[in-house]
Amino acid sequence: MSIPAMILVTPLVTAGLSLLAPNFAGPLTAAAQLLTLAFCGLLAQRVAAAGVSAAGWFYADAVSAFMLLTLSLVTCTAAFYSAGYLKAASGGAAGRARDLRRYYGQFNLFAFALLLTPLLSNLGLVWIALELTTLASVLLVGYENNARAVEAAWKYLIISTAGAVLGLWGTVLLYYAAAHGSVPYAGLDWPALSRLAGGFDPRVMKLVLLLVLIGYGTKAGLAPMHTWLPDAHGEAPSPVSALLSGAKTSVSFYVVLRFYFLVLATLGPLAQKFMLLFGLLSIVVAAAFILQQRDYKRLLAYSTVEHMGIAGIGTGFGTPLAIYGVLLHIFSHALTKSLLFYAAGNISLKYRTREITGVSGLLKNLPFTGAAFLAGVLAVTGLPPSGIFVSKFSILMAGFRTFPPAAVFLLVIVAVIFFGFLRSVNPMLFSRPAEPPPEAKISRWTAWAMAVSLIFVIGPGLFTPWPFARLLDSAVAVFLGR
Amino acid sequence: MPILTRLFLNLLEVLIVLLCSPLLKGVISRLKALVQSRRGPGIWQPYFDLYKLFRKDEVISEDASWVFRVTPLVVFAAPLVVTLLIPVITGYPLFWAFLGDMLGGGFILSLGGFFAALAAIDTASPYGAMGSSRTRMVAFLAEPVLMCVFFTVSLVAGATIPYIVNHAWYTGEKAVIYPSHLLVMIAFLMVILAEAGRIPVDNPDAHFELAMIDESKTIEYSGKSLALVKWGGYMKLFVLLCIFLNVLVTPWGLAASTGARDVLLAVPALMLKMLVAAVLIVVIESTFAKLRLFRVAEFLGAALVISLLGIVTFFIGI
Amino acid sequence: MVDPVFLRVLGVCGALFLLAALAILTARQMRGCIRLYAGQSFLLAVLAALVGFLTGSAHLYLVAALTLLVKTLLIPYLLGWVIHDTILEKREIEFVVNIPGSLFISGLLAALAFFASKAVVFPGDVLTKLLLPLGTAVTLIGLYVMVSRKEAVPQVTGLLVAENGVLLAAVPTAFGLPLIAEFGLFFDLLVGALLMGVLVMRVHRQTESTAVHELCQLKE
Repeated sequence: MSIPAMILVTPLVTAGLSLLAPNFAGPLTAAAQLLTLAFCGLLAQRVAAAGVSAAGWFYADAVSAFMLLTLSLVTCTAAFYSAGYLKAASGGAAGRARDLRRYYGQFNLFAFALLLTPLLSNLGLVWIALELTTLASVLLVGYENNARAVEAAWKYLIISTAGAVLGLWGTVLLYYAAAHGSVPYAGLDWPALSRLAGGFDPRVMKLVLLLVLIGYGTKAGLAPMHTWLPDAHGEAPSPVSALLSGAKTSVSFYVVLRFYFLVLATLGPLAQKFMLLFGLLSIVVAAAFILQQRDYKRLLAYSTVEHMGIAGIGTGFGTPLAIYGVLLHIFSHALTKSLLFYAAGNISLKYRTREITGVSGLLKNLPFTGAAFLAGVLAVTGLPPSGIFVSKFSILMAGFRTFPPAAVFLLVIVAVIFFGFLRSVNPMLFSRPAEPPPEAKISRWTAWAMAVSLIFVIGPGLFTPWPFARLLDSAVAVFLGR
Repeated sequence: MPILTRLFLNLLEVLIVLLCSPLLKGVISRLKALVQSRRGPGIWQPYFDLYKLFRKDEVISEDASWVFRVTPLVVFAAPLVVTLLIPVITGYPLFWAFLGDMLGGGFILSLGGFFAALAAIDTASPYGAMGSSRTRMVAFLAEPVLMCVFFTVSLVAGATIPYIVNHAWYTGEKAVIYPSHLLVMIAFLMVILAEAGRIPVDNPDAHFELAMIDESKTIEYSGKSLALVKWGGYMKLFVLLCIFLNVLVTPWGLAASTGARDVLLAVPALMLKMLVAAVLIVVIESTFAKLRLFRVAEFLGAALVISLLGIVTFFIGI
Repeated sequence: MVDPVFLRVLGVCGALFLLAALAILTARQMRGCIRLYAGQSFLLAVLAALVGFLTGSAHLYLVAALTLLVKTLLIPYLLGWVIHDTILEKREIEFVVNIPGSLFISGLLAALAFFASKAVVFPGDVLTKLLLPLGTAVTLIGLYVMVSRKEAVPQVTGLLVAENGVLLAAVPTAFGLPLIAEFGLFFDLLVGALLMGVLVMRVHRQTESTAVHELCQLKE
């Protein structure tokens, strides 16, 4: 069987096995995800050697391989974390079989859909896969079955589906433009479309860009369509939040990028302006809400909005350095955000509250989690050494050369967010606890998940391994056609 | 064609409307009763009712003014005047065809309604006042729709004279309906239901004064005046349906020449079309419930939006 | 060339499709919303079959069959099955914008859709010129219904209507999806509708009502 098929079959099989043997589902999923990660690495190697890897329905170029690495890293660490989190969250008992079955079945389906999306080249199939990720994760968001979780799940489903409808509309219009382009092409195959994109009608492409930005941007968490994000990412169980913030928003933004570079060929600077607009709006909105957050998981969710905005701004700048920064940003953000959510999950297990004011003396009571949390916060706000620092720096440098006012504005907002984050997180970490928090068993699995994420958070800030850099460069070349 | 023939045919049309409108009412009542598993009154019953009323005395309130006495005549005459303008049995314009166009016809019909509303207040009866305020509300909500319908129809034909419109729709692509026409037809049907006081706007059979809208105009009348007002009501429905059928929906079946055979054939054709319309009205009346008063505004608002969509659809060229 | 009579039949079906969207906008009873949606999906299937016949594209016959199966039969049935009858019997009394205002806004949206589509259509493409504006208008009206209702079921119906509109817009441009993907698309829609039904019941269980507009515990 080809490698893409192996990548996809593994989570599917695990989903089935989880339904049958729920008590082993945790370790089983973790092992399966390790296997998937290995396959993704293999695929990346193959793509690096041959340029693209096409087999039947599946197609993987450098961008796909890069996204797959990101996604499978996040799903792998999330699987490990889930194994530890669920055991502790259910009160130390082995966990009710029905709940485990429910969780791991959906988790694996979610992983399957996430990994499916970058492997498809037909944009219509991509829509189906992306919609599948939403459907697979809705009940995970509402996992805890209280009023808040149900409200979050409802908003998530409705707003995401509305976004999907708009995305489908944009895809239909793209097909229409391609069918009537200067070289008529009746299909939705991305490589073919990107070759012919220069000859499409600009008026139709304008509509396509608008629809895709609003539609798929909803799933990616760009403002003003982000309203579901803090609720869904805040109310979901922590491993699910990590997957949503780290993986799902990344893959949605990846789809936006695929469309964006098609439109860029026809519209040029106008497309960049649109992207910049949405990106700037996102970081402003995120900054405004970060400054007044009282719930640390929602704080992290708004930070996701901010980072998707930064990615949007980087895409708007458009130089090769900027796109390199954007791709590295997607990778680093996915891992940093998942690390932060893992830490947040442990904190919520220990302190039994999601309020920032309810947490104190973190470094004393949960040393490893606290340290990881601190490292994650410093990384996510862009301090070196971290991958996010490198990516933000690249984007800023590219910005100063193309749109200096936007770059300056970005810098200012990033500084504001840094201040807001530290102001909220400082008391959590360093203050003396009023009374000792209740005892809670934090599983070893969670520590492993956090440690691995930490490596990938700080790693790219220190050095970039040669194969990784080459993969990134090929990915940029795919988009910018050089 | 000779003037006398046209004059004669025009007067013949008036006679047909005069004589056949009670029959229409009778058929509708009978069909509704059959649908409700009753036997119902005979189809000639309205004629007997009118005859009976004409022989009775009148009682007029002391507070009534000249408006009260004049209104039955206006309500009776208005539809007859409109008959002069619209195609009833002939497809070619007749003697008074250019006296007014569709907008003029619409205004003359509204004149009847206006006087009826005034007369209802005139007697200082509380039920009359309530009914007349409701009638006015329905009428002013229906006016814009009527205008939109007429505009769309005139845009298609390039003229506002009903005969020319009929000719344009008839000789255009036959047996073919444009989407804008469909929307306009549906809007006009909703307006007819409102103007003629049928369900879902008003229940024509109910005698519950607190709920009457259109029937309130007959509340204070008796004897000959009541006969005239009732007859005027029958004719209003008949005339509105004539416009609906002959101008909008089925512009065929009208006499194409002045030959006696053509004209005589056109009369049963008209009866047949009226029968189909009667069945449609009975189906609507038996299927839907009467709307609450404030929902009538929504009903007519929907009709307005549909007619506006008809105009826009026409301009887009769909 | 396309037979003008056929074009007019398509136009009539399309106008009825638009009217169905308006009817859903004004429908008060939940069950009525779902039934009207089934009717509209049936019209969509008819339209797809007609266009398939006109253009000789077997692909569209499949779309018509899937629409009939999934949207006209399965989704309304599943929604009626998952959501309790007590919820479906309810009537929505208050809207965010009252009905005449909603009708007016939707008229404006339809006009906007018509004029915007006119700019996009390539000359000589008669089918698209007819169906794209109607599909766009219905999509906008569906999204407006979703936004302007307080109850869960009409919100869901609004979304489904918007999907219908997009599919109608896609019919004349004939999907570039491989056949297997048609099944995937409709499967996604089916599962989505089912999940929405399940969530409606969960909301009801938590808050004793399905007025999702009132869900505002999560703020900021």
